[in-house]
Amino acid sequence: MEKNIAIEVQHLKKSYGKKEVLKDITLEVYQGELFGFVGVNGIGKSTTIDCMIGVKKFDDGEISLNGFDIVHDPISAKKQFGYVASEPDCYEVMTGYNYLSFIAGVYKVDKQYFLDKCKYLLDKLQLKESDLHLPIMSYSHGMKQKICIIASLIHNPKIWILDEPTVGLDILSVEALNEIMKDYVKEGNTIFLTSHNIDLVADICDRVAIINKGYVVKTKDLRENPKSRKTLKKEFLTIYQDDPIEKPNDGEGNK
Amino acid sequence: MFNLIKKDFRLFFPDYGHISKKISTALFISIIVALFIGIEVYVFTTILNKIKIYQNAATAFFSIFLFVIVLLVTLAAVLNASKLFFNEQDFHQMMIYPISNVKKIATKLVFLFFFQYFLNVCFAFPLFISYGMILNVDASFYVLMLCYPILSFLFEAGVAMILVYPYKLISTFLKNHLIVQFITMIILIAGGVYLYGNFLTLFMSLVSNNEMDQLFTITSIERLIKLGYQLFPSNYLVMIFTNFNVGIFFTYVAIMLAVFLFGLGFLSLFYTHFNQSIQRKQHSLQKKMQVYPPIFTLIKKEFILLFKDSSYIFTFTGLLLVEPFLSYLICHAMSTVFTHGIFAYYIMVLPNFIPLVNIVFLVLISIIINKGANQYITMEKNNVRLLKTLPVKATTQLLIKVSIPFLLSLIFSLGAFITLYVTNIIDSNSFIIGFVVNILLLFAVDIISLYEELKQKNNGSKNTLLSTIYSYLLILIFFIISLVLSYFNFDIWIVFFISVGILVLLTLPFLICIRSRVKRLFDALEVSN
Repeated sequence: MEKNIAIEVQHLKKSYGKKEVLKDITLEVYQGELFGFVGVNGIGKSTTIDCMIGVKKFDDGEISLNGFDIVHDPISAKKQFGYVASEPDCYEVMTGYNYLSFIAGVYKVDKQYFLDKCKYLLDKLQLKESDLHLPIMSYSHGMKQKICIIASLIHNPKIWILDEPTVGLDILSVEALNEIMKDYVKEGNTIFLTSHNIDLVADICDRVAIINKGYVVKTKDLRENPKSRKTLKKEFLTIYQDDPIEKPNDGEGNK
Repeated sequence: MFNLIKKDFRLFFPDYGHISKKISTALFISIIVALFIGIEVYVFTTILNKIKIYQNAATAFFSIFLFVIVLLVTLAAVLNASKLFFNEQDFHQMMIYPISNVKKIATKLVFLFFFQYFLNVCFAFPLFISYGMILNVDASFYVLMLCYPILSFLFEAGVAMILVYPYKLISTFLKNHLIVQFITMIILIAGGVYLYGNFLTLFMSLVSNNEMDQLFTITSIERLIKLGYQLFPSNYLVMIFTNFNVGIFFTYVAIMLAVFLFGLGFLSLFYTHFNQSIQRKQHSLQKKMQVYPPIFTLIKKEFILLFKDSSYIFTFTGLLLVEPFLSYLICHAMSTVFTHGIFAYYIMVLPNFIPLVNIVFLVLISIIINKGANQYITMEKNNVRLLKTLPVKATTQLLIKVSIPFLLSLIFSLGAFITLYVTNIIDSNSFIIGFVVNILLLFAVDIISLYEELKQKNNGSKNTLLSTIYSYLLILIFFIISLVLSYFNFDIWIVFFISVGILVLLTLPFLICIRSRVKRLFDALEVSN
C-alpha cells in the first residue's frame, strides 16, 4: 500500500554566513507516523525545524507539509502544523485563557471544538482551569511549556512538530505528553519530534532519522524489529564516536 | 483573618514580573499621585486665599473641593470593591477552603478600609492641612482630621457596595460587546477632554492672577456658598471638622450607617449570587472561552502587548494620557511668548505664524509620543518565531501592528486638538490643517520606523536617519513653506493645499516604494535558536 507523505524535505541546505549547517537534508515522513529526528546538540535539528515551519529561509531545497510548499504557499502550509519549541514560546503578558483564545482565533477554530480540546488537554496535562486566568508570566517553566503544548494542538493540526518538548517537564508531564502523542498518531496524524534524549525517541517513535554534519546519516524503522529500539542508542553513539560521514544519504535514508 | 488580608493584598498587588518593572511602575504611580496632589493643593490654596475674606466662603469652598475628592475616592472604592469582591481568580483559589462568605466579606471590607484610608491620607489630608494653615485653626482640627477617613469610609464604602455589582455587570457587558465598548470609550474620552479643557481654563486663570478676580465676583461667591452647604456628604463632614457639633455628628453617623448597612446587605446578596453563578460555570468553559475572528484576535493581541507591558507606560501609553495637557501647556506658553515683546512685531508681518507654530508643536508632540511605540518587532520579545508561524499574511500582521499605535496616537492627538480648540488656543482652520498634517506624518513615520526596525533586525545595523527626517524635518518644511506663502498674503486654505501637497509628494511615493520591501524584510527575518 502506498504511503501518503506528510512532510517532505528535499536537499535542504542552510548556511549561517560561511558555516554550512545543513548540507543536504532529505527525508520523508509519512502520515500517521511518529517520526524522531535525533542528533547531538547544535547539529542542526532546530535549524531543520525552523526551515520546515517557515521561520528561517534556506539556501536551497524544498519543503512541503501535506503537499503545501512552505515557501510558495506558506499560509496553507502553516495551517497544517502545530509547533512546540524547546523553550516556551508564548505571550507571557497574556493569561493562559487569553493566549489559547488568541491561537484559536488566529486559526479560526470552531468554538465547540476549542472547548472540548481545551478540556481534554487540560485534563491530560493536569493543568487546572483556574490556572488559565493567571498571566503566563506567573507560571512555572513546566506550566508555560504545557500551555504551549495545548496551544499547538488547539487548531487540530495534521502535523505536530515538537522541538525538544520535554525540556523543563516533570516525569509525570513527560508521561502525559507521551500519551497525548500516541493518541494523536492513532488518529492518523503525524508527529515530527526532535530530541537528544535517545531513550525517549527509541521508546515512542515509529521511525527515526539521525543527523550529523549536515546530512541525514541513518533512517531506521523501529517497527520492523522490536530489538532495534534497544540498539538505537548504540548506533547513535557509534555514529558520533566514529564521526565518519560527509556525504548525503541515498534517498532511503541510509548512507 | 490576617492571612486572608494578606491574600487580598497579593490579589491586589500580584507578585510577578521583574523587580525593576515593579519599581518603575511604583515610581511612575508615585510621580502621578504627587503631581495630582501638587495641582490639587495649588488650586485649592490659591482660590482659598482669594475668597477667605468673604464670610462662610472658605468653609463652603472647602466643602465643594472635599466633595470632588469624596467622589473620586468613592469611584476608586467601586473599582477596588469590584476587584476584591467579584474576582473569579480569588473565587477559584478560595473555593477549596472552609471559609464562610461572612468571613470573606468582613476581611475584604477591612482591606478596603485600609486602602481607602490610604487614599484619603493622600488626597484629602492635603486639603485639610492647607485649610488649617490658611485659616489658622487650632491643633484639635489636625487631630480630628485623623478620624476623617473613618467617617468618609462609611459613605464611600456604602455607596461603593451599592454600585459595585451594577458596575461589574456593565463592565462584563462592555467586555463582551466590543463595538459598544468602543463607542463608550469614545464618549468618555470626548467628555473627559471637554472637562479637561474647562479645568485647564480655570487652572490657567488661576496661574495668571489678573483673570482670577473676574472669576470670583460677589454673585459667584454667593452661589459658591449656597452650593457648598448643599453638597452631601461633604457639607456634613466639613461642619463636623470645622465646627464640631454633637447633633450634626450623630445625624451624619446615623445616615451613613444606614447607607453602609444597606450597601452591605446589597453586596452580600450579590456576592452569594456571584459565587453561585461561577460555581455553575465551573464545569462549563462555554461562556468564558471566546473565539474571535483572526483580525480581531490580532488587534486584541496588540492592545494586550501595549497596555499590559509596563515598559510602554513610560514610553507610550502613559504619555498618551498626558498628551492633551502637555500640548496645552506648550502651545499656551508659545502663544504667550509670541504675542509679547519683539515677537509681536513679527507676528504682524506673518499673520499665520502663531497658528503654524501651534500646529508644528502639536504634530511634534504627537510624533514624539508615537515613537515610543515604534518598536513593532521588538515588542514581540521572544515571540517572533510564533509570529512567523501564524497562518496570517505578513502584510496583514504588519499592518495591524502599525495601525494600533497609529490609531491610538491619532485618537489622543485628536484629544489634544480638541482641548486646544475648546480653550481657544487654536481656531477651526488650525484644527483641521494641523490634524490632516498629523495624520499624514504619523502614518509616514510609523511605516518608515517599521521598515528601519526590520532592516535592523535583518542586518544588525541601527539606522534611524529616515524616520528622524520624517519625524522632524518634514514638519519644518511644512512650516517654512506655509510661512513664506502666508507672508505673501495667500489665503490660509491655499497655503494649506500647497504645503500639504508638497508633504504628500515627499511621502507617498516613498511609502509605496518601501511597502514591498517591508514584506520582504519580514519574510527574511530570522529567529535565533
